[in-house]
Amino acid sequence: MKMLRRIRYIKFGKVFTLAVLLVGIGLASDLCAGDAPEVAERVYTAADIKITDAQRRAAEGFYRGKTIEWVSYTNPGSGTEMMLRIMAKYLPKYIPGNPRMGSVQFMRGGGGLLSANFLYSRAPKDGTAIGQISAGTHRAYIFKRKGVEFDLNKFTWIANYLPQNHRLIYTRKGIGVDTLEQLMKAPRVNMGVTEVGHNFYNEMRLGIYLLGFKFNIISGYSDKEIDLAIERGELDGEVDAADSFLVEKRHWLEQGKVVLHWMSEPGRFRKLPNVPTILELAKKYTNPPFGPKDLALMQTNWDLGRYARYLAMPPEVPVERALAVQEAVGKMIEDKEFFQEFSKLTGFDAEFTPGHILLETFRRLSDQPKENLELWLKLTGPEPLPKR
Amino acid sequence: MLDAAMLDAAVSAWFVVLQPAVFGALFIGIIIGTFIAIAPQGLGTPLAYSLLIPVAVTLPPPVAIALLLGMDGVTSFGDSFLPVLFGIPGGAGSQAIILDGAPMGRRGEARRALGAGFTASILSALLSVFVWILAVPLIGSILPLIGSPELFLLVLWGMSMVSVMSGSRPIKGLIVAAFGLLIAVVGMEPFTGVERFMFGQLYLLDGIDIPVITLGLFGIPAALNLVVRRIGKEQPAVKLVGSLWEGIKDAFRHLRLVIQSSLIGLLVGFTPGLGAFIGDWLAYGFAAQTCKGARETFGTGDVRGVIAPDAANSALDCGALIPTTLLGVPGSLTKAFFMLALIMMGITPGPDLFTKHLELLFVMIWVMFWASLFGGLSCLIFIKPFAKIAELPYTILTPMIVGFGFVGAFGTNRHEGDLFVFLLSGLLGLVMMRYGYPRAPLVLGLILATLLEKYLYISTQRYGFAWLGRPQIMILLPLVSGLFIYTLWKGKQSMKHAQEMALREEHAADPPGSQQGSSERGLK
Repeated sequence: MKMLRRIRYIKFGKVFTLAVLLVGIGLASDLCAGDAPEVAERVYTAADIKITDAQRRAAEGFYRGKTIEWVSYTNPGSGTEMMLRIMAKYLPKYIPGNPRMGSVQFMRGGGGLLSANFLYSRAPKDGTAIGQISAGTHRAYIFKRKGVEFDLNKFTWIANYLPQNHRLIYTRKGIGVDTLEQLMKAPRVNMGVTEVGHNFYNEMRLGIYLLGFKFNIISGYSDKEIDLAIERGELDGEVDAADSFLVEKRHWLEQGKVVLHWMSEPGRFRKLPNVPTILELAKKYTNPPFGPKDLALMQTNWDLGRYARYLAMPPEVPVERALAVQEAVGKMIEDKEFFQEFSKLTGFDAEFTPGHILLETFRRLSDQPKENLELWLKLTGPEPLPKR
Repeated sequence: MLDAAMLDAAVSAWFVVLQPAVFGALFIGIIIGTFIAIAPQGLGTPLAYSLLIPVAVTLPPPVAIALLLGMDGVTSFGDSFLPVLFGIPGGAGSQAIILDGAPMGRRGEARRALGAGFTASILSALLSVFVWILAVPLIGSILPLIGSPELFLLVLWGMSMVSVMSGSRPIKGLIVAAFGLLIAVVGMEPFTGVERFMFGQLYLLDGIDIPVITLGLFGIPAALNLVVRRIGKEQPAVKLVGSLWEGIKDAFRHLRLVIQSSLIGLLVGFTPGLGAFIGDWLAYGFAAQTCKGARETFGTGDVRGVIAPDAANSALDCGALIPTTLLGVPGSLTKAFFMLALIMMGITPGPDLFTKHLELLFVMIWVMFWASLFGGLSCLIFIKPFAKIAELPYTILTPMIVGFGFVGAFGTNRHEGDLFVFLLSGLLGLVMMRYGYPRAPLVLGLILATLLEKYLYISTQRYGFAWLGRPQIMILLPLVSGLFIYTLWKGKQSMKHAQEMALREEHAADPPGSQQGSSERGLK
C-alpha cells in the first residue's frame, strides 16, 4: 500500500512538474514574442471626464451668449467636413451655456499643418475656438517635419471622435486566395488604396514586411473607386475600416463575394470574432520568429493609426472650459440621434476617446527609440521594404 | 430602360429637388445665371463658376448642384439678349444668333426674336433632359467594361477640347494647356507622396486651388475689359419692341426645326471636344440648307435663323452634361468647371457618380429640368427688366467683379497666399489676352491633369504596358485619336467659316474662336 501511495505521489509530482514546465514554456515563448497587449477594448464615455459642478457652472457662465468658431484642415464639402457639420449641429446642446456655433474657417494646405499652426498660435485661447486636426499633424510633429510650428503636448486636446482601430484586410472570392496559406503563396495580389502613407496602406505594408505577402499596392483611387475596381476585377482586395465595411459592404459578405483575412488591432473585433488579428498571424507565421522589435513596430502602427479624427483647442484654455467641452463631446456621441445621423451620413460609427488618452498616446510615440520610428517611416513610404 | 434602383433614385431625387433649400438655391442660381448671361459683354459662365464654387462646395451636395446647374442651365437662354439688342455675341454658343437676331432687333422685332429664341430654348432643353434620362441606363450597361485605362483615354479625349477652345491658334492653345498641366502638378504627388515644385513653401504642399486661379484668370481681365470698352455708356441697345407672342408662336410653328436643331446640339454637346462654338453654327448651316427659302432670307432677319441656333445652343448645354456626369469627360469648358465642383465635393463624375450617387445624378437631371423651365419662362415674363441688365454701366459691374473676386479668393482657404495667386493669375490672364493666348485651355489642363495622371498611374501600376493591348483600348484609341484630329481640323474650318459669316454683320467683329468671346476684344 505504501509503495502504491509513493508511486501515486511520484506520478502526481511528475505530472505536476511537467504541467508547470509546459505552462512555463508557453509563457516564456509568449514573453519572447513580446508583451502582446491583448486587452479588451476600453470604451470611454462622458463620465470619464472628471469635471466638478463648480467647474461646469464656471464654464456655463463663460459660454452663455458666446460663439464658438471652428478651424478645419479639410475641404468644404468633403466627408470630414460633413462630420464637422453634424457635430456643430449637436454639440452646443451639451456645452454648458449652449453657445452658438459660428462659421468654419477652412484652412486647407500644408497637409493640415497650416490649420494646426493657426490653431496653436493665432486662434483665441479662451475656449471659443475648436480645431479639427488632421491625422497627419501628429505624425509631422513626431517625425519633426518642416513647417511644424507647434508643440503637440501643449494643445488642449478635446477628443478623438472617429477611431479607425479595426482595419480589415479582405480580397474578393474567385481569385484563388480563399485561405491565408493561399494568400501567402499567391505570386501577386492587386490591392487598392487611396494614397501612400495612409493607414490602410501601412496595414498592407505591415503584412508584406511580417508575413511576406506579394501585394501589388496600387495607390491613387478614391474610396469609392476602389469598390468599383474590385467589382469589375481590376483590384483583388483592399483594407477598409471594419465598421464602415460592415455598413457599406455587408452584402458582399452575405453573398460570399469576399474573403476576410485579418484585422489590424491586437484584440479581435467584437463584430467579426472569427477573423484573426495580425498579431496572431505574425506569431504563428513569421520567419524568423516574431520578436520584440516586430512588436514595437506594430505598437507604433497601432498608436499612429488608431485615432483618425481629433478635436483640439489652442494651448492654455482654462481647464473648466476644456473639460466642459470634452464632456459635451462625450455626451454628444452618446446621443442616439447624433450617433444615427453621423453613422448614416458618414458611414462611420462615432466613438469617444478623451483628450488625455490622446496625449498619452502622443507622448508614448514621442518617447520611442529613433530606430523604431525610422523603420515605421520606411514601412509607410513608397520605397521597397527592408528585410526583417 | 430604367431599372428599379434607378426609378427609386429618380423618384427620391425629384422630392429632394422640391425641398425648399434646394429649390431656393435653384432660383438663386437662375438669377445669377441670367444676370451673368445678360450683363454687358456676357461676363461668362467660367467667371460665374469661379465665384460660386468656393461658396457652393460648403453647401450640402443637392443644394450646391441646384445653385451651380441653376446658374449654368439658364445662361443659354440669356445668351440671346446681347446678339439681338446689341448685335454682339453673348455666350460662347450665341454667335450665329447675331446673323438674324440683330437685323430683327434693328427693324423693330426684338421681342419677337427673343420670344422665338426663348421658346425654342425651353422646348429644346426639355427634350435634352429626356434624352439624358434615357442615356443613364444605356451608359450604365457599358460601365462594367470601363476600367482605369479606358477612363484615362476618355479624359484624354476631353483634352481634345483644347483644339476648339484655341480656335485658329491651336499651338498657343496646346502651350497653354501644357502650362495648365504643369501648374496642376505642384504640391505633394498623391500616389507616392513625392513633393513637386514646392520650393520649400508649405503653402504649396496641397497644390494651388483651381478656383482661385480661375477667379484671377477670368475675373480681373473681365473687370478691366469693361473699363476699357466703357460698356453701358457708349454702346446703345436697340429698342425692345415687337410682339413676344408672335415669337412664341413662331417656335411652335417651326417645331420640326426646333427638334432638328436640338438633336444637332445634343450630338455636339455629347461629343467632348466639339464644344459650344460649333453647335449653333452647325444648326444654323443645316437650317439654311433645309428650310424653304432660307438661302434668300437667312442673314436678313429670318426668325428661323434665331430658332435654329438658340435651340441647338440650349440642347448642347444640356447634352454636354451627359458625358460629364456619366463618363467623367467634360463636354465643354463650363462642364469642366462643374466637374471640378463635384470633385471638390468628394463626388467623382463618371462610374462613381453613376453607381454610388445615383440619387445625386437624378438631382442634376431634375435641376436642369426646372432650370430650363423656369429660366426660359422667366426670360419670357421678365423680358423688359432683364433687357435693362444688359445696359448696366461698367461703373457698377467692375467694382462688383473685383470685390467678389477678392472675397472669393480669400474666402476659400483664408490664406494670404491665395490673394497672391489671385493677383498673379489676373496678371497672367491680362498678358495672355494681350498676346492672343486663349485662357480656357489652361483651365482645362488644370482640371483634367489630376484625372489624367491618376488613371495613367493606376493603369500602369496595375497592368504595366499591357493595358494598351486591352480590347476596349484597341477600339477606343483610334476612335479618340481620330476625333481629336477631326476636331482640330474642324475647329479651324468652322472658325474660318464663322469669321466669314460674322463679317456679314457689322457688329459681329469678334472671332468666335476665343472662349472669352467678345470680352477679350477690348484689351487686344
